[in-house]
Amino acid sequence: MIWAAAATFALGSACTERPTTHHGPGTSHDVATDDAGTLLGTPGTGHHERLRQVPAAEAPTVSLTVRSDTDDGWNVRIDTGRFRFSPDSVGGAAVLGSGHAHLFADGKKVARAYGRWHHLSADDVPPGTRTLSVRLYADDHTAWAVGGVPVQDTARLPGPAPDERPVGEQPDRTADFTITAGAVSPDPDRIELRRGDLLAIRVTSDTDDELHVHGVNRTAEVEAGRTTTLRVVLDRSGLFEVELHRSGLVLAQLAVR
Amino acid sequence: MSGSTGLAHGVGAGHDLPIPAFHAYAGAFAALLVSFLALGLLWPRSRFRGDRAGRPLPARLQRWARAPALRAGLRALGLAAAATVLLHLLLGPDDPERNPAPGAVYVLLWVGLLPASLLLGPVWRLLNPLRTLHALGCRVVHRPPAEPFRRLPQRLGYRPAAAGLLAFTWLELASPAPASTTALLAFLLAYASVHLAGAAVFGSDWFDRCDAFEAYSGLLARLAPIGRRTDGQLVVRSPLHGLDGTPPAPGLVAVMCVLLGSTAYDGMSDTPSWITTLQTSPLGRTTTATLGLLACTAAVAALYVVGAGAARLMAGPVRRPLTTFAHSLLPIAIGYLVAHYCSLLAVEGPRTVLTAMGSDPAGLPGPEPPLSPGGLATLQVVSVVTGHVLGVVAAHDRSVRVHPPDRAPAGEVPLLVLMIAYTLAGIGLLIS
Repeated sequence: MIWAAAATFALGSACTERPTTHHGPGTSHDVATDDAGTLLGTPGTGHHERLRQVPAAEAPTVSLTVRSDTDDGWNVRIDTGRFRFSPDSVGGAAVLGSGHAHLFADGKKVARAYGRWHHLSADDVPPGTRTLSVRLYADDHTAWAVGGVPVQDTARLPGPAPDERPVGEQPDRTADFTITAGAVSPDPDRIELRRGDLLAIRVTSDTDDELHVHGVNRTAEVEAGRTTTLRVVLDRSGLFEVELHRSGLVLAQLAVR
Repeated sequence: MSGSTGLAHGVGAGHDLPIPAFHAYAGAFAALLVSFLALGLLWPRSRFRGDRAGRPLPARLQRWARAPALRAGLRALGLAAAATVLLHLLLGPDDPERNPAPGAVYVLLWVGLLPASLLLGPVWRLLNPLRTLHALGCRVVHRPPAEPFRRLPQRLGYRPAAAGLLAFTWLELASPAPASTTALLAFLLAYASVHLAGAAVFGSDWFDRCDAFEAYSGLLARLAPIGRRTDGQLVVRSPLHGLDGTPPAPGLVAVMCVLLGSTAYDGMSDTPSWITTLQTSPLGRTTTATLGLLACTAAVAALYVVGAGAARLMAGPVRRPLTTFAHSLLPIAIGYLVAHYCSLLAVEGPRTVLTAMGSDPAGLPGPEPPLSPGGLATLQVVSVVTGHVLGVVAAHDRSVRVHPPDRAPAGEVPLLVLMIAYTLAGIGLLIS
């Protein structure tokens, strides 16, 4: 019996997402304390913040892969180690090596997953979200943790954010600029683009600066000595400047038709 | 250096695309054709009657236009707008994306005066907050505003306005930080002090030709379909009659050269080669930009002096050889201005109003331009060529008036060549 270990219950932890199914004996929604690791933190703060710490050697592991779906949203793959999904016993006591996963869009919970594959609809994710994370939870909704840190993995959410394309997509144009002692190389020139083109701007400067692309109003910090890449989609026609804000240097003009 | 250095117009995120070659050639061909047709086909005797021409508007409309309530309302509006801009400059953020004041000065005032004056007449005369302040001050000390301590010297003419326009275009196009609140505040306060002092000494007539914005608006209004006849009647008239009535005051040539030269510099400053020159010049960006602006103005002026001098050689002496034909440059300058600034007004104007009304468009791209690139290119070429045609016709009419009939066509040729040069240069800047 899985829930035989549920001897005592920690009271006072409210659950905001009660399962609609009937709870079996000993499977109330409260947090059970048992032998599976050590509970960290104080009860009453909402159990999703409570961590269940286990030794690293026994702890489950997780890795996240996100792919754009051709139709809607993303397909998410949750690869786990020393862990199995246990949808049948959710709400029961924590058993090492089992439970479920939660998905977070920029830190905000958007879904619960009971298996390796999960489809995330674009409607489920707030627009502009950049990252998706996964954490593993025990059946009693405490998060598996090692060394005080939840077992988790994070991946960049590819497209369809408004002005970004999938990270892997080949840009239509790439423009490289080097700034040395206030001089731009190559000399500022026009870059001819079509509407909707993806442009990658790579800037290497000998001073810290801020890169700004007018027209799409995108900026990126430029660190001295390092190459900064800014990818922009030019979605309106006009003549726009690519500029460094602090030095006031114009790097190029984008002629978008 | 401020972040706004790269912005040629003081404010705004984008510029107009270069026009397609087809538009450029079509425009240049039309300008040449019209010029030579004008020589052969236009009337042999002067037809334009300046401010004596025009058909009076209905009496009711004229009464309404003269109504003290309307005029007081417009003065109050001008004063309120100026106060709003000053408050935004004093208290608002130093960021043209979030502060509507730079847009109000460079777009709503400077560019907005263009359509407003072309359609309605010399509107800045009524809105000018300096004129209103001067009138209020005079009321306090019980003096009629028009009564001067000293008579305004006639030979001053438009020269103070030309200087004011040059200062303003320098701030917009060549100063290190045109959209910074400090720079704008300093300029506006200095400008207001100079002109209030001028008006205090010379009376409110000072504003007519010495205030840059009133002179600008008043000159643009020469091409408005409505105007005031010499008998005081408000009339509907052909813009060509209005243009002919441009007062040939000293300094008119200077105003034209500043308008043409600064707009040409604005076009030139969008070209990659000038950007490279600015960024690599050992003189520094501001000095180089200032020299560029002055060089453009000087080039326009030199061409004009050569053209007017050649006309004098070929057709014989006339009184005031430079000023006599200066009015014919006005439509050319207006053609340049419309071509360069119409999309700025259409895109940045609403954005400035939205910012002033409290919405925060920072970070949002501005509204879509109302015209496609092709439509905008057509509008630009049409406005430059229309300006050229009006200029040619105005110069022809003036030429047959001041020159003896047998010499008039010869005297016209240098002026036509001059105008073709201006127009081709204007089209050349649109294509680059």
